Amino acid sequence: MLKDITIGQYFPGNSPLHRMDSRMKLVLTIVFIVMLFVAKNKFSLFVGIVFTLITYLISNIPFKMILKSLKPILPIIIFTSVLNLFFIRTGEILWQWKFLKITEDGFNLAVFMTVRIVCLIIGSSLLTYTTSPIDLTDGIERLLSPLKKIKVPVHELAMMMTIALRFIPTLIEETDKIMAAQKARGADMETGSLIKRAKALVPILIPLFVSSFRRAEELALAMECRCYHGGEGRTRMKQLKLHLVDFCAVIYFAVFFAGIIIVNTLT
Amino acid sequence: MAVIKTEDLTYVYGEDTPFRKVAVDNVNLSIDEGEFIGVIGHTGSGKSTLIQHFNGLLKPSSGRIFIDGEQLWEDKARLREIRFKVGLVFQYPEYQLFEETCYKDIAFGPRNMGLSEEEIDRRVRETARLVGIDDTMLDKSPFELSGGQKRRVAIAGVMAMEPKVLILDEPASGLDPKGRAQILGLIREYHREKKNTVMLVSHSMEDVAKHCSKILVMNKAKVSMYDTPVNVFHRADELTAMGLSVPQVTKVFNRLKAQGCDIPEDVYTVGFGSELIMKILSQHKGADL
Ligand SMILES: Nc1ncnc2c1ncn2[C@@H]1O[C@H](COP(=O)(O)OP(=O)(O)O)[C@@H](O)[C@H]1O
Ligand SMILES: [Mg+2]
Repeated sequence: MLKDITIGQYFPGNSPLHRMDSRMKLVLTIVFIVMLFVAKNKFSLFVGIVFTLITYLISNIPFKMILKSLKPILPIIIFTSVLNLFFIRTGEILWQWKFLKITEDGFNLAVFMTVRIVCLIIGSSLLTYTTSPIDLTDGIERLLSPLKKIKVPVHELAMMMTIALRFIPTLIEETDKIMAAQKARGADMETGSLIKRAKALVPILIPLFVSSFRRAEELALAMECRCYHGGEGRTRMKQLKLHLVDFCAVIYFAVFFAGIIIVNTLT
Repeated sequence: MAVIKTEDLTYVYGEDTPFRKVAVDNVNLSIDEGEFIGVIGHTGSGKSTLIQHFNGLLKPSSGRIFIDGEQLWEDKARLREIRFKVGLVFQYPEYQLFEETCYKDIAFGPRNMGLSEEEIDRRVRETARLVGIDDTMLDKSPFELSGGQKRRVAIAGVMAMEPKVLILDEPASGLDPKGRAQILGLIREYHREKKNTVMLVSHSMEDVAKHCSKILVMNKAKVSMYDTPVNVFHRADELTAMGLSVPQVTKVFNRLKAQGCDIPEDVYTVGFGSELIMKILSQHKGADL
Protein backbone atom coordinates (compact mmCIF):
# COMPACT_ATOMS: atom_id res chain seq x y z
CA MET A 1 0.00 0.00 0.00
CA LEU A 2 2.62 2.52 1.08
CA LYS A 3 4.96 1.56 -1.71
CA ASP A 4 2.45 2.81 -4.26
CA ILE A 5 3.41 6.39 -3.49
CA THR A 6 5.36 7.70 -6.44
CA ILE A 7 7.26 10.69 -5.08
CA GLY A 8 10.50 10.81 -6.97
CA GLN A 9 9.70 7.47 -8.52
CA TYR A 10 12.55 7.08 -10.94
CA PHE A 11 12.12 4.54 -13.71
CA PRO A 12 15.58 3.65 -14.99
CA GLY A 13 16.09 3.48 -18.73
CA ASN A 14 18.20 4.70 -21.58
CA SER A 15 15.83 6.75 -23.70
CA PRO A 16 16.85 10.17 -25.05
CA LEU A 17 14.77 11.62 -22.23
CA HIS A 18 16.80 9.72 -19.68
CA ARG A 19 20.02 10.92 -21.23
CA MET A 20 19.10 14.61 -21.23
CA ASP A 21 20.65 17.05 -18.84
CA SER A 22 18.42 17.52 -15.79
CA ARG A 23 18.66 21.33 -16.01
CA MET A 24 17.44 21.22 -19.58
CA LYS A 25 14.62 18.91 -18.61
CA LEU A 26 13.55 21.21 -15.80
CA VAL A 27 13.53 24.26 -18.05
CA LEU A 28 11.74 22.43 -20.83
CA THR A 29 9.12 21.12 -18.43
CA ILE A 30 8.32 24.70 -17.51
CA VAL A 31 8.22 25.56 -21.21
CA PHE A 32 5.85 22.62 -21.71
CA ILE A 33 3.50 23.92 -19.02
CA VAL A 34 3.53 27.39 -20.58
CA MET A 35 2.92 25.76 -23.96
CA LEU A 36 -0.22 24.02 -22.71
CA PHE A 37 -1.57 27.27 -21.35
CA VAL A 38 -0.76 29.17 -24.52
CA ALA A 39 -2.88 26.69 -26.48
CA LYS A 40 -6.17 28.52 -26.39
CA ASN A 41 -8.44 26.44 -28.59
CA LYS A 42 -9.02 22.78 -29.30
CA PHE A 43 -6.92 22.75 -32.44
CA SER A 44 -3.80 24.08 -30.79
CA LEU A 45 -4.46 21.88 -27.78
CA PHE A 46 -4.53 18.97 -30.19
CA VAL A 47 -0.97 19.88 -31.18
CA GLY A 48 -0.17 19.77 -27.46
CA ILE A 49 -1.71 16.30 -27.21
CA VAL A 50 0.34 15.06 -30.15
CA PHE A 51 3.42 16.53 -28.54
CA THR A 52 2.71 14.82 -25.21
CA LEU A 53 2.06 11.54 -26.98
CA ILE A 54 5.31 11.64 -28.95
CA THR A 55 7.28 12.59 -25.85
CA TYR A 56 5.69 9.70 -23.97
CA LEU A 57 6.62 7.29 -26.79
CA ILE A 58 10.21 8.54 -26.80
CA SER A 59 10.49 8.11 -23.03
CA ASN A 60 9.89 4.35 -23.13
CA ILE A 61 7.98 4.49 -19.85
CA PRO A 62 5.30 1.76 -19.55
CA PHE A 63 1.75 3.01 -19.92
CA LYS A 64 0.88 1.52 -16.53
CA MET A 65 3.26 3.91 -14.79
CA ILE A 66 1.62 6.85 -16.56
CA LEU A 67 -1.80 5.69 -15.40
CA LYS A 68 -0.44 5.37 -11.88
CA SER A 69 0.69 9.00 -11.89
CA LEU A 70 -2.78 10.08 -13.07
CA LYS A 71 -4.65 8.21 -10.36
CA PRO A 72 -4.07 10.65 -7.48
CA ILE A 73 -5.37 13.64 -9.43
CA LEU A 74 -8.50 11.86 -10.64
CA PRO A 75 -10.68 13.53 -7.95
CA ILE A 76 -9.42 16.96 -9.04
CA ILE A 77 -10.18 16.20 -12.67
CA ILE A 78 -13.68 15.00 -11.83
CA PHE A 79 -14.32 17.94 -9.56
CA THR A 80 -13.31 20.60 -12.09
CA SER A 81 -15.15 18.82 -14.91
CA VAL A 82 -18.35 18.70 -12.92
CA LEU A 83 -18.04 22.35 -12.00
CA ASN A 84 -17.45 23.33 -15.62
CA LEU A 85 -20.22 21.07 -16.87
CA PHE A 86 -22.96 22.41 -14.65
CA PHE A 87 -22.00 25.96 -13.92
CA ILE A 88 -21.26 27.33 -17.36
CA ARG A 89 -24.62 28.53 -18.60
CA THR A 90 -23.82 30.06 -21.94
CA GLY A 91 -24.24 28.37 -25.31
CA GLU A 92 -26.69 25.86 -26.64
CA ILE A 93 -28.38 23.56 -24.13
CA LEU A 94 -27.46 19.92 -24.67
CA TRP A 95 -29.26 18.29 -21.78
CA GLN A 96 -31.60 19.48 -19.06
CA TRP A 97 -33.17 17.99 -15.98
CA LYS A 98 -35.02 20.25 -13.54
CA PHE A 99 -32.52 22.97 -12.61
CA LEU A 100 -29.48 21.06 -13.91
CA LYS A 101 -28.40 21.79 -17.41
CA ILE A 102 -25.40 21.14 -19.56
CA THR A 103 -24.55 23.61 -22.24
CA GLU A 104 -22.30 23.20 -25.20
CA ASP A 105 -19.81 25.73 -23.84
CA GLY A 106 -19.73 23.97 -20.50
CA PHE A 107 -19.16 20.62 -22.13
CA ASN A 108 -16.39 21.96 -24.34
CA LEU A 109 -14.66 23.68 -21.49
CA ALA A 110 -14.89 20.57 -19.29
CA VAL A 111 -13.26 18.41 -21.97
CA PHE A 112 -10.69 21.09 -22.72
CA MET A 113 -9.67 21.47 -19.08
CA THR A 114 -9.52 17.72 -18.51
CA VAL A 115 -7.29 17.16 -21.52
CA ARG A 116 -5.06 20.01 -20.46
CA ILE A 117 -4.66 18.73 -16.88
CA VAL A 118 -4.01 15.18 -18.07
CA CYS A 119 -1.33 16.38 -20.49
CA LEU A 120 0.17 18.52 -17.77
CA ILE A 121 0.46 15.62 -15.35
CA ILE A 122 1.80 13.21 -17.96
CA GLY A 123 4.42 15.72 -19.07
CA SER A 124 5.63 16.58 -15.62
CA SER A 125 5.60 12.99 -14.41
CA LEU A 126 7.79 12.12 -17.40
CA LEU A 127 10.32 14.48 -15.84
CA THR A 128 10.35 12.58 -12.54
CA TYR A 129 10.17 9.18 -14.20
CA THR A 130 13.21 9.83 -16.36
CA THR A 131 15.35 11.78 -13.89
CA SER A 132 16.76 10.30 -10.72
CA PRO A 133 15.97 12.42 -7.67
CA ILE A 134 19.63 13.16 -7.15
CA ASP A 135 20.02 14.49 -10.72
CA LEU A 136 16.88 16.48 -10.23
CA THR A 137 18.07 18.29 -7.11
CA ASP A 138 21.46 18.75 -8.72
CA GLY A 139 19.74 20.43 -11.64
CA ILE A 140 17.63 22.59 -9.36
CA GLU A 141 20.68 23.64 -7.41
CA ARG A 142 22.51 24.64 -10.56
CA LEU A 143 19.55 26.48 -11.99
CA LEU A 144 19.03 28.41 -8.77
CA SER A 145 22.70 29.13 -8.15
CA PRO A 146 22.46 32.76 -9.33
CA LEU A 147 20.32 33.30 -6.23
CA LYS A 148 23.41 32.68 -4.10
CA LYS A 149 24.38 36.26 -4.94
CA ILE A 150 21.44 37.51 -2.90
CA LYS A 151 22.35 35.20 0.00
CA VAL A 152 19.80 32.46 -0.64
CA PRO A 153 21.31 29.25 0.81
CA VAL A 154 20.81 27.34 -2.45
CA HIS A 155 23.31 24.60 -1.72
CA GLU A 156 21.92 23.93 1.74
CA LEU A 157 18.37 23.81 0.42
CA ALA A 158 19.40 21.43 -2.34
CA MET A 159 21.29 19.23 0.12
CA MET A 160 18.24 19.10 2.38
CA MET A 161 16.12 18.15 -0.57
CA THR A 162 18.56 15.47 -1.70
CA ILE A 163 18.65 13.95 1.78
CA ALA A 164 14.88 14.09 2.13
CA LEU A 165 14.41 12.43 -1.26
CA ARG A 166 17.06 9.86 -0.49
CA PHE A 167 15.33 8.90 2.75
CA ILE A 168 11.76 8.74 1.52
CA PRO A 169 12.08 5.12 0.31
CA THR A 170 13.98 4.18 3.45
CA LEU A 171 11.31 5.71 5.60
CA ILE A 172 8.54 3.99 3.66
CA GLU A 173 10.31 0.68 3.98
CA GLU A 174 10.80 1.23 7.68
CA THR A 175 7.15 2.17 8.16
CA ASP A 176 6.11 -0.99 6.33
CA LYS A 177 8.35 -3.06 8.56
CA ILE A 178 7.13 -1.52 11.80
CA MET A 179 3.53 -1.83 10.66
CA ALA A 180 4.05 -5.50 9.87
CA ALA A 181 5.69 -6.08 13.24
CA GLN A 182 2.89 -4.41 15.18
CA LYS A 183 0.30 -6.22 13.10
CA ALA A 184 2.01 -9.46 14.05
CA ARG A 185 1.35 -8.46 17.65
CA GLY A 186 -2.31 -8.04 16.84
CA ALA A 187 -2.41 -4.28 16.30
CA ASP A 188 -5.58 -3.45 14.45
CA MET A 189 -5.27 -0.44 12.17
CA GLU A 190 -8.09 -1.03 9.77
CA THR A 191 -11.25 -1.19 11.85
CA GLY A 192 -12.84 0.90 14.57
CA SER A 193 -13.75 4.53 15.05
CA LEU A 194 -11.58 7.40 13.91
CA ILE A 195 -10.21 7.96 17.43
CA LYS A 196 -9.41 4.28 17.80
CA ARG A 197 -7.57 4.29 14.52
CA ALA A 198 -5.65 7.42 15.43
CA LYS A 199 -4.60 5.72 18.65
CA ALA A 200 -3.53 2.67 16.69
CA LEU A 201 -0.94 4.89 14.98
CA VAL A 202 0.98 5.45 18.20
CA PRO A 203 2.77 2.06 18.09
CA ILE A 204 3.93 2.92 14.58
CA LEU A 205 4.81 6.58 14.94
CA ILE A 206 6.90 6.29 18.10
CA PRO A 207 9.34 3.69 16.75
CA LEU A 208 9.43 5.62 13.49
CA PHE A 209 10.40 8.87 15.20
CA VAL A 210 12.95 7.15 17.37
CA SER A 211 14.64 5.57 14.39
CA SER A 212 14.46 8.75 12.29
CA PHE A 213 16.28 10.71 14.95
CA ARG A 214 18.86 7.96 15.30
CA ARG A 215 19.34 7.90 11.56
CA ALA A 216 19.66 11.68 11.32
CA GLU A 217 22.29 11.68 14.03
CA GLU A 218 24.25 8.91 12.34
CA LEU A 219 24.10 10.68 9.01
CA ALA A 220 25.26 13.98 10.49
CA LEU A 221 28.15 12.19 12.14
CA ALA A 222 29.09 10.41 8.94
CA MET A 223 29.00 13.69 7.01
CA GLU A 224 31.19 15.41 9.56
CA CYS A 225 33.64 12.53 9.47
CA ARG A 226 34.03 13.22 5.79
CA CYS A 227 34.68 16.90 6.48
CA TYR A 228 31.45 18.18 5.03
CA HIS A 229 31.17 21.89 5.76
CA GLY A 230 28.59 23.24 3.37
CA GLY A 231 28.78 24.09 -0.29
CA GLU A 232 31.73 26.47 -0.37
CA GLY A 233 34.60 25.22 -2.47
CA ARG A 234 32.86 21.91 -3.03
CA THR A 235 33.54 20.29 -6.38
CA ARG A 236 31.36 17.75 -8.09
CA MET A 237 32.05 14.25 -9.23
CA LYS A 238 29.35 14.45 -11.85
CA GLN A 239 29.67 17.55 -14.01
CA LEU A 240 26.48 18.55 -15.71
CA LYS A 241 27.07 19.13 -19.39
CA LEU A 242 24.84 19.80 -22.34
CA HIS A 243 24.98 17.22 -25.12
CA LEU A 244 23.62 16.89 -28.61
CA VAL A 245 20.43 15.32 -27.29
CA ASP A 246 19.71 18.47 -25.27
CA PHE A 247 19.98 20.70 -28.34
CA CYS A 248 17.77 18.34 -30.30
CA ALA A 249 15.23 18.61 -27.49
CA VAL A 250 15.28 22.40 -27.71
CA ILE A 251 14.61 22.24 -31.44
CA TYR A 252 11.85 19.68 -30.93
CA PHE A 253 10.20 21.91 -28.33
CA ALA A 254 10.63 25.03 -30.46
CA VAL A 255 8.94 23.37 -33.45
CA PHE A 256 5.89 22.38 -31.44
CA PHE A 257 5.69 25.67 -29.58
CA ALA A 258 5.74 27.49 -32.88
CA GLY A 259 3.13 25.03 -34.16
CA ILE A 260 0.81 25.88 -31.30
CA ILE A 261 1.19 29.61 -31.78
CA ILE A 262 0.58 29.30 -35.51
CA VAL A 263 -2.51 27.13 -35.02
CA ASN A 264 -3.70 29.61 -32.38
CA THR A 265 -3.51 32.54 -34.81
CA LEU A 266 -4.92 30.62 -37.78
CA THR A 267 -8.10 29.48 -36.04
CA MET B 1 -1.82 -32.89 11.50
CA ALA B 2 0.63 -30.39 10.13
CA VAL B 3 0.43 -27.04 11.87
CA ILE B 4 1.79 -25.21 8.82
CA LYS B 5 1.29 -26.45 5.30
CA THR B 6 1.96 -24.69 2.02
CA GLU B 7 0.95 -25.66 -1.49
CA ASP B 8 2.89 -24.23 -4.43
CA LEU B 9 3.53 -21.06 -2.49
CA THR B 10 5.04 -18.35 -4.70
CA TYR B 11 5.69 -14.71 -3.92
CA VAL B 12 6.87 -12.04 -6.33
CA TYR B 13 8.06 -8.58 -5.30
CA GLY B 14 7.41 -5.67 -7.63
CA GLU B 15 5.34 -7.51 -10.22
CA ASP B 16 5.15 -5.50 -13.46
CA THR B 17 8.12 -3.30 -12.64
CA PRO B 18 11.73 -3.58 -13.78
CA PHE B 19 12.52 -4.60 -10.17
CA ARG B 20 10.47 -7.80 -10.41
CA LYS B 21 11.88 -10.45 -8.10
CA VAL B 22 10.63 -13.93 -7.31
CA ALA B 23 11.45 -14.21 -3.63
CA VAL B 24 9.66 -17.48 -2.88
CA ASP B 25 9.32 -19.99 -5.66
CA ASN B 26 6.86 -22.84 -5.57
CA VAL B 27 7.34 -23.97 -1.99
CA ASN B 28 5.60 -27.09 -0.71
CA LEU B 29 6.10 -27.63 2.98
CA SER B 30 4.47 -29.45 5.80
CA ILE B 31 5.56 -28.63 9.33
CA ASP B 32 4.54 -30.81 12.23
CA GLU B 33 3.57 -29.66 15.66
CA GLY B 34 6.19 -29.44 18.39
CA GLU B 35 9.08 -29.35 15.99
CA PHE B 36 12.08 -27.03 16.46
CA ILE B 37 13.03 -25.97 12.97
CA GLY B 38 16.11 -24.11 11.87
CA VAL B 39 15.59 -22.11 8.69
CA ILE B 40 18.85 -21.43 6.99
CA GLY B 41 19.90 -19.82 3.74
CA HIS B 42 22.12 -17.24 2.20
CA THR B 43 21.14 -13.56 2.57
CA GLY B 44 18.45 -12.84 0.00
CA SER B 45 17.40 -16.46 -0.35
CA GLY B 46 13.86 -15.60 0.70
CA LYS B 47 13.76 -16.71 4.32
CA SER B 48 12.15 -13.56 5.67
CA THR B 49 9.68 -13.46 2.80
CA LEU B 50 8.66 -17.08 3.37
CA ILE B 51 8.04 -16.74 7.09
CA GLN B 52 5.99 -13.56 6.67
CA HIS B 53 3.46 -15.67 4.81
CA PHE B 54 2.89 -17.93 7.77
CA ASN B 55 0.96 -15.34 9.74
CA GLY B 56 -0.66 -13.60 6.83
CA LEU B 57 1.50 -10.50 6.62
CA LEU B 58 2.19 -11.21 2.98
CA LYS B 59 -0.39 -12.53 0.60
CA PRO B 60 0.96 -15.20 -1.73
CA SER B 61 1.17 -14.28 -5.40
CA SER B 62 -0.04 -17.81 -5.99
CA GLY B 63 -0.46 -20.97 -3.97
CA ARG B 64 -2.11 -21.69 -0.65
CA ILE B 65 -1.18 -21.77 3.02
CA PHE B 66 -2.88 -23.72 5.78
CA ILE B 67 -2.43 -22.96 9.44
CA ASP B 68 -3.83 -25.69 11.68
CA GLY B 69 -5.82 -26.93 8.71
CA GLU B 70 -7.42 -23.57 8.08
CA GLN B 71 -6.66 -21.84 4.80
CA LEU B 72 -5.18 -18.38 5.17
CA TRP B 73 -6.73 -15.56 3.12
CA GLU B 74 -9.91 -17.52 2.53
CA ASP B 75 -11.74 -15.33 5.02
CA LYS B 76 -9.97 -12.04 5.66
CA ALA B 77 -11.90 -11.50 8.87
CA ARG B 78 -10.22 -14.55 10.39
CA LEU B 79 -6.75 -13.28 9.60
CA ARG B 80 -6.27 -11.54 12.91
CA GLU B 81 -7.29 -14.66 14.83
CA ILE B 82 -4.81 -16.73 12.88
CA ARG B 83 -2.12 -14.17 13.55
CA PHE B 84 -2.44 -14.96 17.25
CA LYS B 85 -1.61 -18.58 16.48
CA VAL B 86 1.61 -17.81 14.68
CA GLY B 87 3.84 -15.36 16.52
CA LEU B 88 6.44 -13.65 14.41
CA VAL B 89 9.51 -11.91 15.82
CA PHE B 90 11.10 -9.74 13.15
CA GLN B 91 14.76 -9.06 12.69
CA TYR B 92 15.94 -6.30 15.07
CA PRO B 93 12.67 -6.47 17.01
CA GLU B 94 13.93 -3.85 19.50
CA TYR B 95 13.05 -1.17 16.95
CA GLN B 96 9.36 -1.90 17.52
CA LEU B 97 9.33 -1.03 21.22
CA PHE B 98 7.14 1.96 21.87
CA GLU B 99 5.47 1.84 25.27
CA GLU B 100 6.47 3.81 28.38
CA THR B 101 7.45 0.71 30.29
CA CYS B 102 8.66 -2.74 29.37
CA TYR B 103 5.68 -4.22 31.16
CA LYS B 104 3.25 -2.34 28.94
CA ASP B 105 5.18 -3.23 25.84
CA ILE B 106 5.15 -6.94 26.59
CA ALA B 107 1.45 -6.64 27.41
CA PHE B 108 0.65 -5.04 24.03
CA GLY B 109 0.14 -8.34 22.20
CA PRO B 110 -1.86 -10.12 24.92
CA ARG B 111 -4.00 -7.00 25.34
CA ASN B 112 -4.79 -6.99 21.63
CA MET B 113 -5.94 -10.56 22.05
CA GLY B 114 -8.59 -9.33 24.46
CA LEU B 115 -7.41 -11.31 27.48
CA SER B 116 -8.37 -10.48 31.05
CA GLU B 117 -6.09 -8.29 33.18
CA GLU B 118 -5.08 -11.21 35.41
CA GLU B 119 -4.21 -13.36 32.43
CA ILE B 120 -2.20 -10.53 30.87
CA ASP B 121 -0.35 -10.02 34.14
CA ARG B 122 0.41 -13.74 34.44
CA ARG B 123 1.74 -13.93 30.90
CA VAL B 124 3.86 -10.80 31.12
CA ARG B 125 5.52 -11.94 34.34
CA GLU B 126 6.00 -15.48 33.13
CA THR B 127 7.63 -14.53 29.83
CA ALA B 128 9.67 -11.80 31.48
CA ARG B 129 11.09 -14.46 33.81
CA LEU B 130 11.68 -16.76 30.87
CA VAL B 131 13.72 -14.18 28.97
CA GLY B 132 15.55 -13.04 32.09
CA ILE B 133 14.00 -9.60 32.59
CA ASP B 134 13.50 -9.01 36.31
CA ASP B 135 10.69 -7.09 37.97
CA THR B 136 12.62 -3.86 38.47
CA MET B 137 13.34 -3.72 34.75
CA LEU B 138 9.67 -4.22 33.90
CA ASP B 139 8.86 -0.74 35.20
CA LYS B 140 11.66 0.93 33.30
CA SER B 141 11.34 2.54 29.88
CA PRO B 142 12.48 0.14 27.17
CA PHE B 143 14.66 2.93 25.78
CA GLU B 144 16.83 2.84 28.91
CA LEU B 145 17.87 -0.77 28.45
CA SER B 146 20.95 -2.22 26.78
CA GLY B 147 20.72 -3.65 23.26
CA GLY B 148 20.51 -7.26 24.40
CA GLN B 149 17.91 -6.45 27.04
CA LYS B 150 15.79 -4.52 24.55
CA ARG B 151 15.94 -7.50 22.22
CA ARG B 152 14.78 -9.83 24.97
CA VAL B 153 11.88 -7.55 25.93
CA ALA B 154 10.80 -7.45 22.28
CA ILE B 155 10.95 -11.22 21.97
CA ALA B 156 8.98 -11.55 25.21
CA GLY B 157 6.32 -9.33 23.65
CA VAL B 158 5.60 -12.03 21.08
CA MET B 159 6.15 -15.00 23.39
CA ALA B 160 3.57 -13.58 25.80
CA MET B 161 0.93 -14.16 23.15
CA GLU B 162 1.65 -17.88 23.58
CA PRO B 163 1.38 -18.66 19.89
CA LYS B 164 1.18 -22.24 18.69
CA VAL B 165 4.07 -21.50 16.40
CA LEU B 166 6.81 -19.06 17.30
CA ILE B 167 8.91 -17.80 14.40
CA LEU B 168 12.02 -15.74 14.98
CA ASP B 169 13.85 -14.00 12.15
CA GLU B 170 17.58 -13.87 12.91
CA PRO B 171 16.97 -13.17 16.60
CA ALA B 172 20.66 -13.15 17.46
CA SER B 173 21.95 -10.89 14.68
CA GLY B 174 24.02 -7.91 15.68
CA LEU B 175 24.72 -9.14 19.21
CA ASP B 176 28.00 -10.09 20.83
CA PRO B 177 28.74 -13.81 21.38
CA LYS B 178 27.42 -13.73 24.93
CA GLY B 179 24.23 -12.01 23.84
CA ARG B 180 23.81 -14.53 21.02
CA ALA B 181 24.19 -17.47 23.35
CA GLN B 182 21.72 -15.91 25.77
CA ILE B 183 19.05 -15.35 23.13
CA LEU B 184 19.46 -18.78 21.57
CA GLY B 185 19.42 -20.33 25.04
CA LEU B 186 16.17 -18.69 26.00
CA ILE B 187 14.53 -19.78 22.77
CA ARG B 188 15.55 -23.35 23.49
CA GLU B 189 14.23 -22.95 27.03
CA TYR B 190 10.92 -21.67 25.66
CA HIS B 191 10.62 -24.67 23.36
CA ARG B 192 11.44 -27.10 26.16
CA GLU B 193 8.93 -25.53 28.52
CA LYS B 194 6.02 -24.89 26.16
CA LYS B 195 6.49 -27.72 23.65
CA ASN B 196 5.23 -25.35 20.96
CA THR B 197 6.52 -25.32 17.42
CA VAL B 198 9.49 -22.99 16.97
CA MET B 199 11.09 -21.79 13.75
CA LEU B 200 14.46 -20.15 14.06
CA VAL B 201 15.78 -18.28 11.03
CA SER B 202 19.50 -17.83 10.86
CA HIS B 203 22.32 -17.79 8.39
CA SER B 204 24.70 -19.40 10.82
CA MET B 205 24.86 -23.19 10.80
CA GLU B 206 26.40 -23.32 14.26
CA ASP B 207 23.35 -21.54 15.67
CA VAL B 208 20.82 -23.96 14.32
CA ALA B 209 22.87 -27.16 14.48
CA LYS B 210 22.74 -27.49 18.22
CA HIS B 211 19.08 -27.49 19.00
CA CYS B 212 16.97 -28.09 15.96
CA SER B 213 15.03 -31.23 15.22
CA LYS B 214 14.75 -30.30 11.54
CA ILE B 215 16.60 -27.96 9.24
CA LEU B 216 15.03 -26.16 6.33
CA VAL B 217 17.52 -24.92 3.76
CA MET B 218 16.48 -22.12 1.42
CA ASN B 219 18.44 -21.46 -1.74
CA LYS B 220 17.54 -18.95 -4.46
CA ALA B 221 13.90 -18.67 -3.41
CA LYS B 222 13.39 -22.42 -3.26
CA VAL B 223 13.38 -24.88 -0.39
CA SER B 224 16.26 -27.14 -1.27
CA MET B 225 16.30 -29.36 1.82
CA TYR B 226 13.98 -30.05 4.70
CA ASP B 227 15.36 -32.80 6.84
CA THR B 228 16.99 -33.76 10.11
CA PRO B 229 20.35 -32.10 10.86
CA VAL B 230 22.16 -35.39 10.33
CA ASN B 231 20.79 -35.77 6.83
CA VAL B 232 21.30 -32.13 5.96
CA PHE B 233 24.91 -31.97 7.11
CA HIS B 234 25.56 -35.17 5.26
CA ARG B 235 25.21 -33.14 2.07
CA ALA B 236 28.07 -30.82 2.98
CA ASP B 237 29.17 -30.35 -0.64
CA GLU B 238 25.76 -29.10 -1.74
CA LEU B 239 25.63 -26.72 1.22
CA THR B 240 29.05 -25.33 0.39
CA ALA B 241 27.95 -24.80 -3.21
CA MET B 242 25.07 -22.67 -1.88
CA GLY B 243 27.49 -20.52 0.06
CA LEU B 244 26.54 -22.09 3.35
CA SER B 245 28.89 -24.00 5.54
CA VAL B 246 28.46 -26.93 7.82
CA PRO B 247 29.58 -26.49 11.43
CA GLN B 248 33.35 -26.63 11.93
CA VAL B 249 33.21 -29.92 13.84
CA THR B 250 31.20 -31.54 11.08
CA LYS B 251 33.87 -30.51 8.59
CA VAL B 252 36.57 -32.07 10.75
CA PHE B 253 34.66 -35.33 11.16
CA ASN B 254 33.65 -35.52 7.50
CA ARG B 255 37.35 -35.29 6.65
CA LEU B 256 38.23 -37.97 9.20
CA LYS B 257 35.56 -40.18 7.72
CA ALA B 258 36.91 -39.59 4.23
CA GLN B 259 40.33 -40.72 5.47
CA GLY B 260 38.90 -44.01 6.64
CA CYS B 261 38.13 -43.38 10.28
CA ASP B 262 35.19 -45.36 11.52
CA ILE B 263 32.71 -42.70 12.53
CA PRO B 264 29.18 -43.93 13.14
CA GLU B 265 27.13 -40.87 12.17
CA ASP B 266 27.46 -37.22 11.34
CA VAL B 267 28.71 -35.02 14.09
CA TYR B 268 27.50 -31.49 14.41
CA THR B 269 28.06 -30.43 17.99
CA VAL B 270 31.39 -29.95 19.67
CA GLY B 271 30.24 -31.85 22.74
CA PHE B 272 29.30 -34.96 20.83
CA GLY B 273 32.44 -34.66 18.73
CA SER B 274 34.78 -34.63 21.69
CA GLU B 275 32.97 -37.60 23.24
CA LEU B 276 33.44 -39.50 20.02
CA ILE B 277 37.13 -38.63 19.82
CA MET B 278 37.64 -39.81 23.39
CA LYS B 279 35.89 -43.06 22.56
CA ILE B 280 37.97 -43.65 19.44
CA LEU B 281 41.17 -42.77 21.26
CA SER B 282 40.45 -45.16 24.09
CA GLN B 283 39.69 -47.89 21.57
CA HIS B 284 43.02 -47.23 19.85
CA LYS B 285 44.81 -47.35 23.17
CA GLY B 286 43.23 -50.70 23.85
CA ALA B 287 44.37 -52.01 20.46
CA ASP B 288 47.90 -50.68 20.93
CA LEU B 289 48.35 -52.32 24.29
N1 LIG C 1 10.16 -5.21 0.25
C1 LIG C 1 10.85 -5.74 -0.78
N2 LIG C 1 10.70 -5.25 -2.03
C2 LIG C 1 11.37 -5.79 -3.07
N3 LIG C 1 12.20 -6.82 -2.98
C3 LIG C 1 12.40 -7.37 -1.78
C4 LIG C 1 11.74 -6.86 -0.60
N4 LIG C 1 12.12 -7.61 0.46
C5 LIG C 1 12.98 -8.52 -0.02
N5 LIG C 1 13.14 -8.39 -1.35
C6 LIG C 1 13.99 -9.23 -2.21
O1 LIG C 1 13.55 -10.56 -2.11
C7 LIG C 1 14.63 -11.45 -1.97
C8 LIG C 1 14.48 -12.29 -0.72
O2 LIG C 1 14.61 -11.44 0.40
P1 LIG C 1 14.45 -11.93 1.90
O3 LIG C 1 13.23 -12.75 2.02
O4 LIG C 1 14.56 -10.74 2.78
O5 LIG C 1 15.74 -12.87 2.06
P2 LIG C 1 16.49 -13.34 3.38
O6 LIG C 1 15.63 -13.06 4.56
O7 LIG C 1 16.72 -14.79 3.14
O8 LIG C 1 17.78 -12.59 3.43
C9 LIG C 1 15.89 -10.60 -1.98
O9 LIG C 1 16.49 -10.70 -3.24
C10 LIG C 1 15.41 -9.20 -1.71
O10 LIG C 1 16.19 -8.29 -2.42
MG1 LIG D 1 16.01 -11.83 6.22
